[in-house]
Amino acid sequence: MIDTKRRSFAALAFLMAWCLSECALVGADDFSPKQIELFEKDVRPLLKAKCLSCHGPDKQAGGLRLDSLQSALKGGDSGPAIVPGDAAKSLLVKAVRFDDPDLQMPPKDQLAAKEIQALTWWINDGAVWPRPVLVLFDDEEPFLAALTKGEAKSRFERRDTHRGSLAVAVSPREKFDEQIADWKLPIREKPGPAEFRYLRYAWKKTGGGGAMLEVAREGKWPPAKATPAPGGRYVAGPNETGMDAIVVDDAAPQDWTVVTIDLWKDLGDCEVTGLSLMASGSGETLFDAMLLGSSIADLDAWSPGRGDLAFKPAPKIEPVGTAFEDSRNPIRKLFRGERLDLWSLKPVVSTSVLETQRGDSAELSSKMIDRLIDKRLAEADITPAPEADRRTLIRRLAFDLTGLPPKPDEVATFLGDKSPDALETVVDRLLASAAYGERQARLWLDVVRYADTNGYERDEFRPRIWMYRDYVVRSFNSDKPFDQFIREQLAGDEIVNGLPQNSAEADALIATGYLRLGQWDSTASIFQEEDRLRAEMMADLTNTTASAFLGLTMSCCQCHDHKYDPLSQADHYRLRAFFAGVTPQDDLVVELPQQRQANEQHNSALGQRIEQLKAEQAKLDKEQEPGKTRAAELSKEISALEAQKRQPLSAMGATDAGSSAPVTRVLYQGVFRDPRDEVAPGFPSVLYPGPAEIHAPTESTTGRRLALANWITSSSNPWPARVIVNRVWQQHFGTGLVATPNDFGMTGARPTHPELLDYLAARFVRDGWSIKRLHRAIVMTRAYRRESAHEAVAAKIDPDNRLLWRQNVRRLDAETLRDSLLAVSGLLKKNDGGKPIWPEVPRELLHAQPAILEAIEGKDDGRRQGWYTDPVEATDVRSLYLVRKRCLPIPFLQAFDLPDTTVSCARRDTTVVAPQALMLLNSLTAVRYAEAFADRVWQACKLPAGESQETDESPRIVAAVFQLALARDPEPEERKLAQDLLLRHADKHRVNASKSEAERLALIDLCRAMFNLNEFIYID
Amino acid sequence: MLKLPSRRDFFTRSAGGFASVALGALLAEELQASPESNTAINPLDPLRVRLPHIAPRAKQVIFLFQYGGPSTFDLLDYKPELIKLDGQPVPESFKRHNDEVGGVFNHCKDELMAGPWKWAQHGESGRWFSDLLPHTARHADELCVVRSMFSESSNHAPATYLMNTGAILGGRPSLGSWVTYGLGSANQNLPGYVLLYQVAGLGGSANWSNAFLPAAFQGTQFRHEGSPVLNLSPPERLAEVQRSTLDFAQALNRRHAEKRPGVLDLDGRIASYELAFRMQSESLEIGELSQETQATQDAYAVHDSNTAKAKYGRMCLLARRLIEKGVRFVQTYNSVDKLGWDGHDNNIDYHRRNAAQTDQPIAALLTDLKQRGLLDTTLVIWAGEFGRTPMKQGGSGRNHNPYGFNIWMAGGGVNAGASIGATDDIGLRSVEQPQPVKNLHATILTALGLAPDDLFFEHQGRQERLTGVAQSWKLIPNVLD
Repeated sequence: MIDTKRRSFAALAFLMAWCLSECALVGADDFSPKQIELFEKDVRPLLKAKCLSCHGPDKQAGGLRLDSLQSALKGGDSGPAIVPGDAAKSLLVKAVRFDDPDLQMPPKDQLAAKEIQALTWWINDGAVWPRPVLVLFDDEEPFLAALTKGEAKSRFERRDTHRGSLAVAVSPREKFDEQIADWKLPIREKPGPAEFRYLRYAWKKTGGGGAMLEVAREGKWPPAKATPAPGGRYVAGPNETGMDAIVVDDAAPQDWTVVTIDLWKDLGDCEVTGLSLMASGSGETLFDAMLLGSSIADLDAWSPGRGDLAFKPAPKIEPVGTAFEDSRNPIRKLFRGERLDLWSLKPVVSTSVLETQRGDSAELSSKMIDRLIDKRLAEADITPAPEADRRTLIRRLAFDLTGLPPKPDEVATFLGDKSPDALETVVDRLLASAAYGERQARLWLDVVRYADTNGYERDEFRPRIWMYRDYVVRSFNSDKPFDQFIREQLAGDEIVNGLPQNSAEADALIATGYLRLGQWDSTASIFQEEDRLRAEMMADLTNTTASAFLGLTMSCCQCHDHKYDPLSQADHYRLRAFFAGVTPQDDLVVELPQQRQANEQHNSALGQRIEQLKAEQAKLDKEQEPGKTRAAELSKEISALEAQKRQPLSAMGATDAGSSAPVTRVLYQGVFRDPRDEVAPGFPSVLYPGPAEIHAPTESTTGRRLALANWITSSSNPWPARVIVNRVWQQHFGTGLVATPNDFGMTGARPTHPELLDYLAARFVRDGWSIKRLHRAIVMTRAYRRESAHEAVAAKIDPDNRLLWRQNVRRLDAETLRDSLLAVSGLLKKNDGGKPIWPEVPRELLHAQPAILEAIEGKDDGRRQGWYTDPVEATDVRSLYLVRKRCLPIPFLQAFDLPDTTVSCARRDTTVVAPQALMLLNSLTAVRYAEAFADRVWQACKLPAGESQETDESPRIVAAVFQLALARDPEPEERKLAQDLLLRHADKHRVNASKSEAERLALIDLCRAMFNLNEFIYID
Repeated sequence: MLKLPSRRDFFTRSAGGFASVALGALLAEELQASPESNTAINPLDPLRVRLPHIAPRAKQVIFLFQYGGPSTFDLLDYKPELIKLDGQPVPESFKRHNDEVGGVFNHCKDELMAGPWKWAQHGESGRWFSDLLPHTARHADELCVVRSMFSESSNHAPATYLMNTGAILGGRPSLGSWVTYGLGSANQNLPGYVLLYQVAGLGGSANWSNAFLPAAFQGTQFRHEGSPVLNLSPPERLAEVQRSTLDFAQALNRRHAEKRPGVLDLDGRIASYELAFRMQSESLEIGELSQETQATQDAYAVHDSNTAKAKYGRMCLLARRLIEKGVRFVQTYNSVDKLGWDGHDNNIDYHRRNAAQTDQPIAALLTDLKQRGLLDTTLVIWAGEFGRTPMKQGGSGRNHNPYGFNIWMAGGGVNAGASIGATDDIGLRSVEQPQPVKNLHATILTALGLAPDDLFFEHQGRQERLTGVAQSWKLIPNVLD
């Protein structure tokens, strides 16, 4: 049974009559707008504000509830609260008037006269109390999403609405759900609280065809066929569904039309669980203001913004703030507001105020650095050490900035330079030297765990990853802004997009080698372990990136929430999601247009020639001479020409596979076989709880890594600038201002000079992320230039020298030691990068590696898993250029704490173990260097044959040895010991050698001894 | 002033009978070791003996690593059902299983393969051995066999890393490094953790790496031929003046150090040269296998005409000599070529060859340790990285099988004669009391008196352990009970 107000006044009249009779006890059901206005505006809010806390659903003081007309009429222990039409007899009015001292409500807090008057009027007027309407849809966005089924297009219409701001528009044929989540809406003949009887909605049909609405009860639709037409399906206009339906109107509603349906009459007692909105023909059906009411009067009384909502409107997406300011922040919730006192979370605070007061420049200032250090020293009452002598200084500077000892003439120049800017001259020369970039590169390659091979079982050579190593050298030497350096490594491919147009773009592509530096198990696919391998690669990239750029230990929250830091397990996977699209490219073309063009011309010229030769070949009679011979000649020539074709220059790098990336999920306990909740790319939630904003630069990439790179290098990010300036500081003092450069978390070290760290970080960013300027500012400080000498009083107060009252004595790392041996012995050759160099290693070590052995036996199928020893002369290059093979580190370097290449290394160990002594004393490598050193000294000092052989050359020889090895003259006692050694050893060697050979052997012994001096391997 | 005389004195003494004197003193030190926490490693004395956390059953370890993946049901895990089903397709019940690692059936034929071995029971325990291991079989009652191991990768390098370092990714400290870190070593003149190999396991030096632990705990290779340690001596023409050369350097080093008081590393480095010198004499002595009786040498087969067997015999004998000198952890790799037990194409040949090379020396080692009273305090472990499939691969090979394999332990207070767990009837998967490698590591550490959760090292803000997250392991039952 249906009716519409428009068509069936008779039915409506009947209904209203029924209602009036049925509802007389609970008050009038026909409300005038004025009455409704009075109640909704003045009475309902008043009851809610002043009465319901004691007489409502939660509490019923004196047995009284005042949240519905029924309960007010029923009243409490003292009888009915209201008598409709008679305020004087209503207890409620008595109470609020405070007439009776024993009945005063609300207690002690009498209502305003205006409020009392409103209650009085309302009761005298019949106590009109419309029951709340349930709004199925008016302006609530979740409504449409709840209709999960159906092929039709549905949308919100914002202009053509019946009421409010939204209508729903459905195109043919339907959107529906027979069981909308949580819907169980009771339909009753006599509805009690939260029960209903009538459905009212407005609809409109555009285009041709009809409109239909279906109501599901108990999860079921009305039967398709029934006579009379089944309740629950209502049509206006043509019915093209083939299902029987109650006709609301023969014509489709051309304009908004309100329909009211007595659902109880059509369906009986039931629970409404779903809806279907339908359209047929062309155009759409629009629906709006869909309501359930207890009575027609209640429905009439409704106006937008009132009533209960079947769907809560979607919360406005209000961005969640940092854990410091927003209680909704997930990290704040997870750790109950703890862990937020982590220093590295706080924004970098520049000491600019302090600085301007003192009138310093805006640039990084050595003076400012000293001021901040001296402040702490003064507080601790420590007198810092004086400035070191020039010989010590130049050695320190040369090693720190270039990783090589100063040459004797450089030392002499500096010692003789009396100008006030002598030191600056040296620093600038060192920073401008090619060796500077090589040194910086070595340190960076530690951080990113660079190696030339894959690792694991086969440990194959990576033929072109050295291009990344050379890119790092170039970047430091050109003082590329460090933020650009970061962006290129993380997202060079997304920055460049396609083939490079210039060398800067080529470099950005080569930089993506960063994404390939981890281990790679090439045999995983044989055993169907690709998923494991991919998961490992993702974890490795995530952990390395967090360590290298952010100083965060993301590896700790791979399996569970972080144990100490404000990082959740989800944070690990949010970061991981940035890398989800990474696709390895072994042949990423990095050739420049000009060269590409030249190659194409070259190749096409060759191609033409080859075609000619082939044509000639085709004409020959190959069965008989001379055709047979000629054909063979031609074949040879053709293959020779083919071999001359140029391959495009390509690098080992990575790109994204396309515009979308595989879904990233949190892995339960870090196990790749147990994926759980999906996560979107995001930064650490403690500061950035929302999903990251990502804009793909083109359709061929996700833009995820670019977003990550841009966030990392944004000035508001508290971590990266602190992390890098701390690394550079460590390079010059042995220990960083934060002693744990890869861990700025709770268990990492606290900064010893927080103000200084922030000063450096802020200025570094403002100076355009210039690493060279940073170096310059640090090494020009008085703090850097101090003596390393021990001082008892200061040592007692600050034994670890954390306040920097002196320089630290530091051991050379493995590569610097080897490079020094080469430099001092005169063997060091300049190298411009390129393929790595393979030095000789003992044969038995090669044979001990199964994979290398397989290659030696020629059984590695060209996989390059062997060791490809270069001629010994070719190996005298800086250690940076030696091959880094994961399964077999070069023994000489390994002895001196070469780091593992599996994880990021922030700081070299400097252990002292006996095998180091054996290596430096006895190894063939060390002995070879000593021989070269001796020969160098010998040639420089020994007088030409024929001149007086009687002169004792040993003082000159000893002086030269000390100058070359230690950049100083021997002290008298040392000179005596050294000359004595030369004499005694020459005597001993004389047994088996000529006099001059015996003298040479003695000199080798002296040189060998020099290489084993602490003074050689430690810098002051 | 220079302190040359005293140093010369020292070296003279050490060149003589220092080793034995030192050893006696150091063993005494071990007996009354002062409590010292694990984490406080003195850089000048890193191998100093440290007290175990709990009462130890063993003091030293010999780990006989069997690389390539030995097929344990061809050696000592008797599977009559497999023999019965030889040549038949794999029963469906074994195929319907969601294996977590790799896909072991992919490269195998659907055909079970038994070996051609004769099986017999040995000892009072009646333990079965195939005729591949006649010598080991004599120790039937001394072995404690875990029959239900499983690995987390079916690939050599990750599985080898797992067995040696507890993780399938390389780059973590090895078992030997952890043990030496935890307990130090009784002999300060030798490395605490020694490796013996001709060809080492797949995956390279990461298998014996100290990783983030101090370098004093890295594995040092002892060679079984020639000079025992690389670079132990200078080239011959410089050998005669070695001491004089070193004395000059040390004299200058002392002057240098005196001007820099408080820099401990400088003293440490001076001391390291002394240790290097002591190592030279002690190591050379260890390498003198001719000091052993002919009977002992023959027992280990060090002169066998099978040169591979002779080499392995020398490694086993060296292992005993190192244990005798107080070295904490000795690990041998079985192979003399890159093939090991990895019989993909011809399993019978691979197993004949490897068994022939290793069986007699291993048995001799057990006998020898027992005779010298060392077996009670030395834990001997025999284990590969995984086992092999009962299915046939290629002509007559077997593929890798991480799902079920045997390992054995002996000595060191383990439950002699026990067998723990079981694989299914065809030896494919561990079905009774399956044991991850982590449990084996926890059991080994516990046998040595190291509580697995207390043996940690702070690295980059995290407490790192061999056995991972605290309480994520269980002791293998019935090994130490």
